[in-house]
Amino acid sequence: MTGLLKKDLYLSANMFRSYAAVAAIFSVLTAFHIFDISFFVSYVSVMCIMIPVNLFAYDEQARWDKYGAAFPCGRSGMVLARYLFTLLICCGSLLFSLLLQAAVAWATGVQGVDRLELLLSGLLPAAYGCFMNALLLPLLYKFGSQKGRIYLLMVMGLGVGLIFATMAILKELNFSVSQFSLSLLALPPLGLLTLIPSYFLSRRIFFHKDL
Amino acid sequence: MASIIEVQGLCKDYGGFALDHVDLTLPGGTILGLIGENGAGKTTTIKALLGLIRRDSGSVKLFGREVTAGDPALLEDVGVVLDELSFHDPLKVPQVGRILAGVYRSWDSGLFDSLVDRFQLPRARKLKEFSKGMRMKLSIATALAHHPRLLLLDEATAGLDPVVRSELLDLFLDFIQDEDHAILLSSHITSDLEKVADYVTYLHQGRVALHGAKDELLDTYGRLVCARADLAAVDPALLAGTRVGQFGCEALVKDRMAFRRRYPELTVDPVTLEDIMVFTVRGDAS
Repeated sequence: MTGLLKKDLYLSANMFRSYAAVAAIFSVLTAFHIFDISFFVSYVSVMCIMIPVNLFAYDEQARWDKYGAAFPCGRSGMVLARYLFTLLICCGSLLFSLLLQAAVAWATGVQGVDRLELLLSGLLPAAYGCFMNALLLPLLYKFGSQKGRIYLLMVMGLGVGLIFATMAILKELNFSVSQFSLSLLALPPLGLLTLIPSYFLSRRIFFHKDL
Repeated sequence: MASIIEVQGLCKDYGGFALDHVDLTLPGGTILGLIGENGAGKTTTIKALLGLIRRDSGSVKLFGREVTAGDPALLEDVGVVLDELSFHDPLKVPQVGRILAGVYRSWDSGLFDSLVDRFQLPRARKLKEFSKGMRMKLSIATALAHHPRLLLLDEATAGLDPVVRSELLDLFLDFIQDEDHAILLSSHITSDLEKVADYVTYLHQGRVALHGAKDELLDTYGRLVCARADLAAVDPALLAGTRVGQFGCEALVKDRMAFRRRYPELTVDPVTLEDIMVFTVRGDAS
């Protein structure tokens, strides 16, 4: 199964170049204070959703599903490898976001910024990536990457809508998000946990598919 | 000799097309040629052997074990070449080797490298720059490099020039020198199968129209070329198909020797697998 992880890694490395180019542009814009650092971190979380979708598209183009399912690790190995890779991407984006936040804080010498807030602004986009992947991956297994792109927009829209709706309700009830800072720390592990039922659902879908 | 493949009563209904009670047997040390027109069910049969489709009924066994999607471990001993390249365009040959080294326990990097050298595949180029022949050679190299006991080859010689095809056929013949090895080769190129196959199964509209030892089939069947009046006088029960043209008639004779005894004045020529296929399809169409 390590071979399947390597395959995803090689294909992702191919995509990383174009993502890195966009990231470089965003970092320049951030450095000139045109964008806030949180915008850059959000970009990273979007990438950790986009990469699995693009991997599905690559696999479909090569008709990899048929070939991969004929490996000794079988269909369950294929699904497990895809989820492990997604987990790696989510953890990688989390680490990157945290390092970036820390670097910016150190470089700009930000004063008075709550450390917990800083931590959350790195953690939450990664948690968002986990939640979105947990929703999206079974849909990709069921409908493929072409329809999956439409679902990607729907799922991301739904996610953003939920966040804004929650914030609006909290505001209406005279609560501040910062009051829930500690509770929000539960979201990243929760995001990772949602990948578990999602994995079993994807496995079930893939097992019942004629390839 | 133990059977490496045993298929009995395989059925799969897609609505517009169905595999209908397909039986196959492949003994060790032999090559089975699976022939049939487009859409006859060759690829579906291979998919069933790999557990890629859920069959409606029937039994599919590899090495004496029932094939199921939930127990793919026996695929460690199966080398697969599907009818289209299964590797991604941005990859390069060494990356393909490293990927498959992490997939098969018995992956032999040295053998893979030697096959890549033998097939003269460029290591530095991306697969998207490969020709169809190069892609097929890569697929065959990957199928062989984990020391399989069974090769399932779906149109593996399609799109290759005669020199390369001949080289691959020699490779396949080497492979089955081991009595524990076997090959199922589906192909449209019946001349290739005439060179290497020990057994032939002809699938027609999802059913096994013909199965047997290749030499026996080619010795038994015959091709009758005669005038329309001669054909009219022949007992239709002795013929598997006819083709009536403006200047003469052709027919596929089921038993060449028996026919000669009954109609010594008519000439019956040896057949090719292609003749058998064409007459069966046209016989159905008429």
